[in-house]
Amino acid sequence: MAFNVLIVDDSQIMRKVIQKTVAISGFEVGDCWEAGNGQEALEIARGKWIDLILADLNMPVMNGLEMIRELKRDDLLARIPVVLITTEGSEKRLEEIFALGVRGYIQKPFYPETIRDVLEKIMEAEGA
Amino acid sequence: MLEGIEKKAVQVTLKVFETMFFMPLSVIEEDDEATAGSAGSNLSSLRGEIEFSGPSSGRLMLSLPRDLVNTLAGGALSDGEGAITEAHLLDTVNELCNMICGNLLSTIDNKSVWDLSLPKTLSDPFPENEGEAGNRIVNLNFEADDYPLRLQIQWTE
Repeated sequence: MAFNVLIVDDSQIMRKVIQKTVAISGFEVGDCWEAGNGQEALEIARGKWIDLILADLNMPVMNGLEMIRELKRDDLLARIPVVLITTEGSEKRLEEIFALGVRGYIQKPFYPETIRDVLEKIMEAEGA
Repeated sequence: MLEGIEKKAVQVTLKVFETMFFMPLSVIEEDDEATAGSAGSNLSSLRGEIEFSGPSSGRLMLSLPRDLVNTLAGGALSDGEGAITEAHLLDTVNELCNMICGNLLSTIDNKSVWDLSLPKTLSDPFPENEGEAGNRIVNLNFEADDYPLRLQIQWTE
């Protein structure tokens, strides 16, 4: 089964790196959308069917935490699992993001196997 | 807290380049630095910079030749996505600084929260003045694909 994925990162280069690594990992992707910040991501998520969001934390305009709060306020979008892909790795910051309902966390730099394991586990839990 | 910082910085830098850009690096030892410096002196370089704060504060700078950044950006972009632009080059250097700095700090202390600035990339070389008095400075030199790279971390407790 292939999943529609939305990649949210202010770095175009990093969005491409994530997209390629996910492809190499063997995790099946259907349509892949890109957004440069949380605001753009919300606009795309309101108009497309998205199964999974992979998001950075530190972004201009609307950061990852603000985007997650907005998603959770929206009855239609709250169902979309969010996985953060970020350089942040402190225990306190992880507690904060998981308290917001983030489903997974991957620290940059990452290996394809790490991505596949995290994403497959989450989508299995979703019943997909 | 900064014990073994050089070793940790080397490990993190190698991992970032190899894992995210499939670019193996080698460390240049002190004895070889003069040779590496002269080899790269004629190359146009980009210098990325990111500031951090938390249990301690400071900044990390990474300098690398424009041609190498072009190779890294080209590897990340797929065929058919157009020419590599200056924005792609700056984006690549910024992301390298962000990943190296973020990983290094969480390797040093993952209990505390570190705040990183948005990285910026400049076309000028490393500043002659290597930090203020009392700062701890870490200088590391690498080589990738015959290009020299330089990493500097300045710590203010």
